[in-house]
Amino acid sequence: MISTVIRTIVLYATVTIAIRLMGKRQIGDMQPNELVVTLLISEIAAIPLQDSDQPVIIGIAAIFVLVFLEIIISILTLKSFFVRKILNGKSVVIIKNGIIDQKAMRDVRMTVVDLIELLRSKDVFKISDVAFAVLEVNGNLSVLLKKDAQTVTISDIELKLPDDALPLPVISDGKIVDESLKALQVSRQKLFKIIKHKKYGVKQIFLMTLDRNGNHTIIEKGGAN
Amino acid sequence: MKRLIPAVIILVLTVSVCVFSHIYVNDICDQTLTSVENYYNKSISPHQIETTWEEQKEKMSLFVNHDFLDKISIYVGQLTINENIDNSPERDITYKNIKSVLKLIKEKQKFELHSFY
Repeated sequence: MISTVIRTIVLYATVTIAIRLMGKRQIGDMQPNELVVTLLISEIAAIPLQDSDQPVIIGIAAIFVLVFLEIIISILTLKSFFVRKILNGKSVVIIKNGIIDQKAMRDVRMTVVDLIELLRSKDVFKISDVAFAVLEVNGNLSVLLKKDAQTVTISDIELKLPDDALPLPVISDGKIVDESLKALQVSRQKLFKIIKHKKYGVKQIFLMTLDRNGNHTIIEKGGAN
Repeated sequence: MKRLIPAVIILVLTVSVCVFSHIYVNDICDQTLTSVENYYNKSISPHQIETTWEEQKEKMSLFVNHDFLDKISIYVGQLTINENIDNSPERDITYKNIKSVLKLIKEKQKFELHSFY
């Protein structure tokens, strides 16, 4: 029993290191080779866990060889267009100027129902509104709407707005986050002044965010705003 | 590229462990085989084999399927049971069984074409 616990801890650490080395990606964003390696790693890790007669080191060696190959392949795909095309495939234009490319759909074995479903997930309900729809190698559909179907943006109406500023948490659970203050170039004194003005104490604040423009949001402990 | 360096280090470590395990397991198999042959030629007692094997088994379990090691432990145990019976058929069978399992372990370590299919 104790050996199972130790084996589990060792394999958990190995798989975590392996996945960390491979880099962060959601399953849906993975390229085909990354998905294969991830599935293989989980399978290989399960073998020494299920069968206590299998030496753990064999599983660890196999996992690290897979990770090494994955990293090599990812570097090659980064450097070479040819390798990328062979291993990952290429994006396919499914809709062009509101017209479905039926041959492309047959090539990628996609039904009209699948296409409509994917379009709906992108908030597109009329195929005629689509300028381009591209099926990416990870299975996602990228959609560019025709000019007349696009939503109006700030630049379209030439509105002058202040620059965006990233709000950072300056107080979290009653504690001042000095890293955020440093990033915002705000002193503690200035922060205390804002809090005092709002009639709060640091300990009373659950979360306070502040941006470079001085905009702030305070959420009181045990309450909302 | 920053992931390549740790990956290469890990690969080098993995290959080193593989090479070490290959040499180490072969070496221990040869040692065990020699001591079993010595026992067969009556130059050592089965208890000596048992003691040596128990030490080696622990280290071997890092690299070899424990099933094989358990089998050898059982056979070595049988040698001690049949210690006082000279030229018994069981003794010959046990000796051959140990030899065949050790041979199998060595074969599993080898890099041969039939290992791929």
